[in-house]
Amino acid sequence: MKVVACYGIKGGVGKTSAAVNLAYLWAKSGRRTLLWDLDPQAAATFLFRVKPRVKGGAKGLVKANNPLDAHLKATDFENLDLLPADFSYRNLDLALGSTAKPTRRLRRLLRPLATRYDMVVLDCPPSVSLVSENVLEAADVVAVPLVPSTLSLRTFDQLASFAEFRGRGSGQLVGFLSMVDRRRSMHRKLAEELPGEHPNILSAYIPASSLVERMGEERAPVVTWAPRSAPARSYRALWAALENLLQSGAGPSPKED
Amino acid sequence: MSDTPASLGTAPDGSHIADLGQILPAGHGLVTAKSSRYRRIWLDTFDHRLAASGFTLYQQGAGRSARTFLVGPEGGVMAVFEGTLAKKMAGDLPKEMAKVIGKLLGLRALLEVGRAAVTVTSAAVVDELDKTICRLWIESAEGAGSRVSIVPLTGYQTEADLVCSAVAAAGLSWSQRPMWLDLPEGSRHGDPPLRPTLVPEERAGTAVARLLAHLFAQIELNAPGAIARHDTEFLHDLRVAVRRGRSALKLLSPLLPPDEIEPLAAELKWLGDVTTAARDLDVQLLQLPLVRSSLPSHWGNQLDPLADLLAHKRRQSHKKLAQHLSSERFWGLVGWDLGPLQAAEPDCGSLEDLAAGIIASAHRRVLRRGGQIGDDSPPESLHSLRKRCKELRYAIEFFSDLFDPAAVATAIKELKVLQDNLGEHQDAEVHAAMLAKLGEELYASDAGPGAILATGMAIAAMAERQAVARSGFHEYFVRFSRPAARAAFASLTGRPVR
Repeated sequence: MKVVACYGIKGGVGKTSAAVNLAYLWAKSGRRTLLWDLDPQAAATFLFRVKPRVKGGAKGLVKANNPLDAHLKATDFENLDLLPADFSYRNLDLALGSTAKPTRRLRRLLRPLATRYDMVVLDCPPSVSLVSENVLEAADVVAVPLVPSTLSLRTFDQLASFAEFRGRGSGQLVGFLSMVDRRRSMHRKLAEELPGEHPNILSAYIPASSLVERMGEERAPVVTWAPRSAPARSYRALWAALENLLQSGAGPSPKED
Repeated sequence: MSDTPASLGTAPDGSHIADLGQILPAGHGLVTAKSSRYRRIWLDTFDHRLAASGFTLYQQGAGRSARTFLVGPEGGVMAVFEGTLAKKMAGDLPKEMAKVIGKLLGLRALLEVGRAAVTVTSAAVVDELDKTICRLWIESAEGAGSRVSIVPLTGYQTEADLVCSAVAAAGLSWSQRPMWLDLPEGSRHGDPPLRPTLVPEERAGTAVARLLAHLFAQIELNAPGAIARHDTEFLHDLRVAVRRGRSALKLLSPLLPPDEIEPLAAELKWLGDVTTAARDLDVQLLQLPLVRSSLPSHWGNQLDPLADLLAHKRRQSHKKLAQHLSSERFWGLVGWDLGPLQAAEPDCGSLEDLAAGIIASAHRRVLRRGGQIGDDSPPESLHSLRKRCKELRYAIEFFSDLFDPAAVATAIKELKVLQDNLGEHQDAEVHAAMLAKLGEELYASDAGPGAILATGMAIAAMAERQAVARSGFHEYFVRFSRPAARAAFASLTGRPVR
């Protein structure tokens, strides 16, 4: 089972859009896939028409033994299940903090699902917190959407240092540009130059598009209802790049608990 | 992702997804996806073990899109394999399938039992929020009607149960019966013949003729599989039918015309004899992994030349076996005219009395022979007792319909314990003798000293096995002849056991 997290410090940069499209593409490729919506805003849960409710909330989820099975929900798509968000996830940090080995709890929770799923995609809340540390521990690859700006790059470098500090290696963290407006010269320039200059930034990028915003109305990944659109092509390219990374064994070396 | 279990049901021919849409609970709707037509091949063992346990295994599609599905007793898909199964023994199955049905298959091979073009129409059942809560499949094959599958989705079992209830309330009957069993003849293989049920009022001649006809049908049906070597059970079952036939004739010989029995008994003996070598080699090959593992560390690998020699001999003996099973003599036996037996009207009272007498007499023989065996008795005496035990077992099984099932089960349970001990003793004896013979051949060939030594160790292991069985015999026989066991037989036959 491989774990890919869509993570970023900043909100509104396309984490959830990437997570739902990537999860769908992995499911479509035949992988048994789980999307875990860790964000209390529950956008991914809403997109898949699932009620944002987890019995026992964040506290119950992290404390009980092997608790995830009971909360899984099938989506409308074959091979794709969802672990819904719950508003109590706003206190997930606190709940994690009360467990033994709090930074590895997420990984431990996912372990029993290894026979059930081939892929897990984590849709993470925007923050740097105990949840983030858990994500870094659990994920093979952390995909970070970056709006094309110098500040975003600076944040990405900070994250990479943090990942290295956590002993997970720089190969775990990959960035991709999101909300790229090709009418703006700065965006064009960064989209063309950054992947060559920065080894951990992918050449695949997601364009700014009203179609991505429309996913909220359609309540389905854009790749399902506008498969030939520019965003759909971009998500497929991003998926292929991440799939290559996983196939080539990229990511951190496994750690023992 | 679909979850197991799903529910299988049968729908009237020509059912459409749209029809089902009208019987869903309020607020629910159907989103029809698509219909696909597949060439489907069903697999099961010769004796339909999977169907009997509620499993269905089928291959669907061709080339790169071919897939093999294992459907469980509850109707849910338990394992999917990308491709078709090239080899069809339990040990060759994909891990996920072997885990579920490996034990059930035992030594039996999977064979094609039916094929048909199947149309599968799928639809999603959605709730008032347009969320898919379960899926419906309608599968239909010409001549086999239609079947509805309701496939629950993870986290929506309660909702799927509601849909199941609605569909059932609309008059669709639920069934675990695999679709291939309803295919028309020509699209599916025949069922194994059912053992005839005896009734107390039946005349003895008719009963014997019907039993023998059933055994001959078993022999005839198993012969092609033994020739094709699908698995070793075909030959084994063929030989069991031969032994049962011989026992039946022997047990009933005082009652039936000798002119009719003797030539038939001679032919059955012939068939038993000409199939012995191949079966012994089958058993040797089946036991080889166990023999290897019984030797210390690397010595097991030294048995490779022995394995090669056994395989070579098995191929040779199979050629002869195939000739015998295709010969006119074989077909003359399975087509034997049983009319004269049927016409025989022995003066023996009711069939029930006759059966009780035969079982009681066979039981007495076992007690007498067993009681004569002492510590110094030769191995042949145990072998002879084993044969008497088999006769007793067959007699009980032949006439089981005439007696109380609980009494039959208890008597067989008592007997089986003794049979297992005697079987272990005899098997070890036969294997050791065969290994000794093969060891000589290995010595005369290019096999190295390692192979000879390892074969010697295997013979010693067999001798040890035999000695353990021999030392346990007395205890098993005392158990079989204790008052409680005698009472079990007395209760079965209604006759006291002295």
